[in-house]
Amino acid sequence: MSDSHVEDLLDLYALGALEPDEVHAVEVHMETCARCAGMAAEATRVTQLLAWAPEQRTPPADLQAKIRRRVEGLAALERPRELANQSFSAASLTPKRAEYHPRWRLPAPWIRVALTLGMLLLLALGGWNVVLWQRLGMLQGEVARQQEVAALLRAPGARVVTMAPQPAAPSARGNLIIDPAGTEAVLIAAGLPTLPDNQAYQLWLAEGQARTSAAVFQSDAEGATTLLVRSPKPLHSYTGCGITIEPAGGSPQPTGERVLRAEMAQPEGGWTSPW
Amino acid sequence: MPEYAQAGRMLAHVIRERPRRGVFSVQESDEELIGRLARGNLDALDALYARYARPVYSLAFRMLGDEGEAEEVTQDVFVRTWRHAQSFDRERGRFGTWLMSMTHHVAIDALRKRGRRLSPITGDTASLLMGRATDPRADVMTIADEHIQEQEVRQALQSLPAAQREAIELAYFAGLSHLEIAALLGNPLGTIKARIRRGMDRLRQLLVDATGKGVE
Repeated sequence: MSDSHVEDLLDLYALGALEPDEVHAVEVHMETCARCAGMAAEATRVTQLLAWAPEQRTPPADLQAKIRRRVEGLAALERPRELANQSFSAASLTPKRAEYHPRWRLPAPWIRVALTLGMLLLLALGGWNVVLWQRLGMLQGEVARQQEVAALLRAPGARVVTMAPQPAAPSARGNLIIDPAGTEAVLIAAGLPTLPDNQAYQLWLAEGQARTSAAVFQSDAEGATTLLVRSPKPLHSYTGCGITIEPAGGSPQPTGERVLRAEMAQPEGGWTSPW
Repeated sequence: MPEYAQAGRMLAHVIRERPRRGVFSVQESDEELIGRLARGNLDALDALYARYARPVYSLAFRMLGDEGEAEEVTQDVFVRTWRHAQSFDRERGRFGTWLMSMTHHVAIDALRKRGRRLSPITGDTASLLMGRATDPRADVMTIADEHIQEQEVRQALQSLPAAQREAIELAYFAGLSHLEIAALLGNPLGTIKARIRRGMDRLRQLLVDATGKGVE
């Protein structure tokens, strides 16, 4: 590719829509091709404008205060070092102070030890504060997610697709519960074998011979998972679903063993509700 | 005359005290604010938040379709703004462009982390896929570039043929690759590439070439 121009890929490059190997090839080419680099820069300018296109929404009223607290917590971690630098600068750059205190000496050893311990304590508390804020943020996100899952499960008319275990995981079981609108679903699975770090489960939606990746996930230590799945196409339009074992990060198409599968065509008697 | 001198001293005092008290002039540019933030003035972060929280949050929500996650992304973006204020280089572009690019990257990371290759599609794309027109009412507030208003970007995007807009939106807002878009829509890869190329050509004409505007 480096021998010919890559114009056809530059818009996709700017949109972030190339596969990793194509990105690499384009970037290698642009290192020696100013023309393509210039065209890519122009395409990037256009895509950057797209960031301003969404309809405007007002963020939650307390978000600014949350950000301020988080930043202040992080800043507190760095303050002792800044103060130390400022003290050093003041002492070394202000000659008059030195004249007024010609016999200035380091504080007594016990004071230095106390100061050091105090700073360490401050650092530890600041760090713990940051950890707590991060954990709180994660918990808030998790609660919101769980509420969303619960709302979907409670929705009247939610439909359940029972997934059948496959020979690779005979004890696995799973249900895909689809909301009445067909745009969201909750996957609840259990009995999944624990996978090594370099592998992951991948949920696929089938439409004829085409397979679309819907999620890449790990089960918990007990082989269970609850996963919220959203689809831009109505889930009813898919004819089936399945879960395979893939390399960590997922695959463009199924490559590994299948552990669960289900037909999703609507039965004559209609979908059955779990409740 | 003494009254004038006293008034002058008071004015000088107010001007001197203003940054310390976190009162910002409307003329203060983004670049001045980010410079002040780089020097550790957290009030400057509040001022930048007041200007950009809505577009940042809106982009995050558009990409993630979830208020909680959009809030997390917005938090991350402004914390990073504080963290990297010193590395912002005004020679390389405007602050708003830098901030929104960062928002896009953080939201793409969030999409990948949660393991949804099929990301939630909301707003414009959802309407598009459902065959409905989007709400034409649009806020005209922040300006992406000093010459281009948000509404112009929306109108340019809306003016594209539906298939071209759909492909571009799935790439930019849902973070899908051209292969994934082709699989999702059930179209040949060449068709998707051609739609994106034609759509981008049109956006270039509308937003850069025809008006002679463009971004820094």
